[in-house]
Amino acid sequence: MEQQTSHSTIDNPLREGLSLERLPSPCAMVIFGASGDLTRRKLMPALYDLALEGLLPPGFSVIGFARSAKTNDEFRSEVRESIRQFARRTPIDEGLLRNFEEGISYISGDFSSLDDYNRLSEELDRLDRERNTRGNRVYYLATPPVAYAEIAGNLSHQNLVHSLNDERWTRLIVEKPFGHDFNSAKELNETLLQYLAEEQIYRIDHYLGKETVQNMLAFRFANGIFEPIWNRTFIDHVQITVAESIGIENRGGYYDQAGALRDMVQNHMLQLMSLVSMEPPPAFDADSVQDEKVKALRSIRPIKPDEVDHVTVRGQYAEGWVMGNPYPSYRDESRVDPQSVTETFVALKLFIDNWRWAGVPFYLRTGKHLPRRVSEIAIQFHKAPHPPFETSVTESLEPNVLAIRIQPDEGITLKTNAKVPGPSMRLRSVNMGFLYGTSFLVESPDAYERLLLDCMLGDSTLFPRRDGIEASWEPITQILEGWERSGISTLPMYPAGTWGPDEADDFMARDGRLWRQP
Amino acid sequence: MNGASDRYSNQFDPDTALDLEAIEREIAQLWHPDARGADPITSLATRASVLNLIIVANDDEDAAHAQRASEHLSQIHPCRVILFNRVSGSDKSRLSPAIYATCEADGDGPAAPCIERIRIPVNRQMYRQLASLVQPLIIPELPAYLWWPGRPAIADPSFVALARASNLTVIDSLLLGSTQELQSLSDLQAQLPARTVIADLNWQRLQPWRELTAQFFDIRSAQWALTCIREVEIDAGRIDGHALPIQAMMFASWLAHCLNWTPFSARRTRKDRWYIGMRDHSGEHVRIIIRTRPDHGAWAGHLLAMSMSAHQEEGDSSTLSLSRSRESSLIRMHARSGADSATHHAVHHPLLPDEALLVPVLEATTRDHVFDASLEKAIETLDFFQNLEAT
Repeated sequence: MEQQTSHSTIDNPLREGLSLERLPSPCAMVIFGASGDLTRRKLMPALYDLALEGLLPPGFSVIGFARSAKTNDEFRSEVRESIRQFARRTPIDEGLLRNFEEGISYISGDFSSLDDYNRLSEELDRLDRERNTRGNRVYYLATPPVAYAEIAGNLSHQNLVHSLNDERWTRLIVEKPFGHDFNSAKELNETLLQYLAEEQIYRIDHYLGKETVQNMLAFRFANGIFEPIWNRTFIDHVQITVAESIGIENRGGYYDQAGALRDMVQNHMLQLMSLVSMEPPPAFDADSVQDEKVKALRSIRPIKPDEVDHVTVRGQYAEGWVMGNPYPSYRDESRVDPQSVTETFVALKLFIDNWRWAGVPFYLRTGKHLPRRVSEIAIQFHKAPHPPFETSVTESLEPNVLAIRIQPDEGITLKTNAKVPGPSMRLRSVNMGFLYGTSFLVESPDAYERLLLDCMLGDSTLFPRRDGIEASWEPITQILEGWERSGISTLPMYPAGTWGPDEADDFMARDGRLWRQP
Repeated sequence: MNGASDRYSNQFDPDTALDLEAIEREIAQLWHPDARGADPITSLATRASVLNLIIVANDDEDAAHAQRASEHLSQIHPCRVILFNRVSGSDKSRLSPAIYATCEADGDGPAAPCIERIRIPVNRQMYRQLASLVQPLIIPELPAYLWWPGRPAIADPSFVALARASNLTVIDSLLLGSTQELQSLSDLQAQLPARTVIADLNWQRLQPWRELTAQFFDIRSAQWALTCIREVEIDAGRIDGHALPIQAMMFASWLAHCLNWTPFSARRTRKDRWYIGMRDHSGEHVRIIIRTRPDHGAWAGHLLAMSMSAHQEEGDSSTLSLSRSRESSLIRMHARSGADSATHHAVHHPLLPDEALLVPVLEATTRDHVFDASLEKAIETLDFFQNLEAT
């Protein structure tokens, strides 16, 4: 069987001067749970956009696998509609779409039925023969997490997983949530690793596919001026905010079991925290980057059960208005326990116990039904040690803040102090903004486009590794255990459309600090 | 991209047409908060600029085209655009420079970083001094890229002087009068400093054809065919005057360079057909046929199809064909190698406007040695034609 190699210029002189690194080798992708929202809204539109960019390999094929009974044509029709509705680049190229559809088929099957995996195997063999997919497979688990182990096991039992030393490659993409605490994440890792090697498992966190998140690495490590001040000597604290204006949107069943800490902090926010706090990697490859991220995560100071209430604040939204629309309280949402103590807002303070960050608090905050959708990392520097101006001038001086905005309006702003024009020395804070989206007006690729392509290319740099997942569950599990011990029956409430409960402000005030209003 | 485009502009008095310091002052003025209607305290203007783009338009039509293209380009390569618009005569009212800053405003929010454009009409006399006009106007410490959107006057001293002052010069060989002008292009390269890059939009148009051809031979079981190619047929849209299409010639020359073929014979066999004989590294004959097809409108001079076949003594054969589909936005690939099943593929590649071709070109920082070598191979091959233009 064939595979492209990184030495293709030697094998193929026509490659001279042509970029190869972003073109995957031929493969087929199987999407388990293909009738779900993720496939419709994200995966298929992302694959179409990759096809439009010429980034899919010849013969690329997709098999949808789900319980719903439908024909190939019905599935293709659904895919066509989803692409028309959600593709990033319009107008749709109808010729290309028809060509893309030729490679799509559907299997109605049960995740537990070995017979259905045999049918899948036959379909994959057909694609190898007829479309030259060459035995290379991506399996995307767009299913409830409870199905992950069973699907991986059945794929392995039916010889649908190639070993690492086979020229044909197999890769498995797993969606969040990856476990519900440290032990379950570890157990899931161990189960999957019975069937696949670590190098074959891609745990997707779509935040890491965002252009600004990657730009943060460029910002930190391609500029010489920031790293010297990126430490406890110059930085007072870091605030990471991931605010959502939406509520739980028909996901009451899932969310009431998960809560904000598991849903957002364990994955997206700790990934952001690791990127902002990691040491410079020696190279920009998967292992080097993951090694540094894991080191940062492992340096998070352990939280003892009796400390949990001092380093966290929970909240739950009450009825209120967000962007002009009324919303019910969390406990009145469908499929939510009316006595639920699941947090829809959480703020916490973490420390990274290493030479660079000793004593610098990292404040993390996330919530549902906050006033606006915004994700940012704000690095607040110490105030100037001795401004040589009159007290009346300096008392209102604000510290410098470097804010990295992830969404919306991706960009970087630096708050500085400047003189107000006029005869007297008056100072005022000024934001200097580098807005990525308005400096480079080209639209960034969707995170799923980037991550699907990386997986097909075998580049796992932007996918958390096993040890990273487990390291991120450790502090989260400590907090969960502390909360469980507290045994409270109600949480501080905040009206939907506000920045969380008053307790969150008190939490910062105790440290003599304020939350930003991003 | 949010919001509406918001423009600020200034028009000079004709008497100050060549006062470059006044132009500089006007640019600075554009960024003054008053000009932007912004709060001088809370809104400190920041600009993102990655390069200077110098455009020389042969006439008003080229200038209008270049202006539209530069607006699109600036979205990806924020830059200062200096557009020289050649005009005839000495009417002072036509020689008035204009300065624009195009900004994206989002609702009531502050204007986002803007793109500066300086448009300077130049008459015959000023045209001779273009290189000296450019230097004071460019943003220092950023590369200067020259784009000549119309038919480039490659041997013109003004063009050469401007190219020498630029880091990269973009031309479009599709607009050259004949394949013989490729020699002038090669001569120009020889005159320029090594740091100066020549980029050809026509070469950029070949990129998907080269990519798809290379993709087929990435498959190991197809690689034997690379040394056994015996025939290549290239079809292109017919050009007025029945000239040999440069794009087709460059594609053939690219194959010849990469596969180490040497030309030994070339002739025009019919009005719309050219034959080139090459020998591969083992001395085997490779026949290359270039044909033109009539009535392809916007596709005149562009590749429409390519097929190649390879044969081994043991009987194995391999074929690869690429063709533009009826929808025109797709290039379809059909290939078969030995006992392997057929490979089908299609890529989106519509007729791209100049601005889309320029986006990757403006990222170039070093010479494309494959382009240089293919150009040399084309010139070497053209020397064998005794009757290139004759019927």
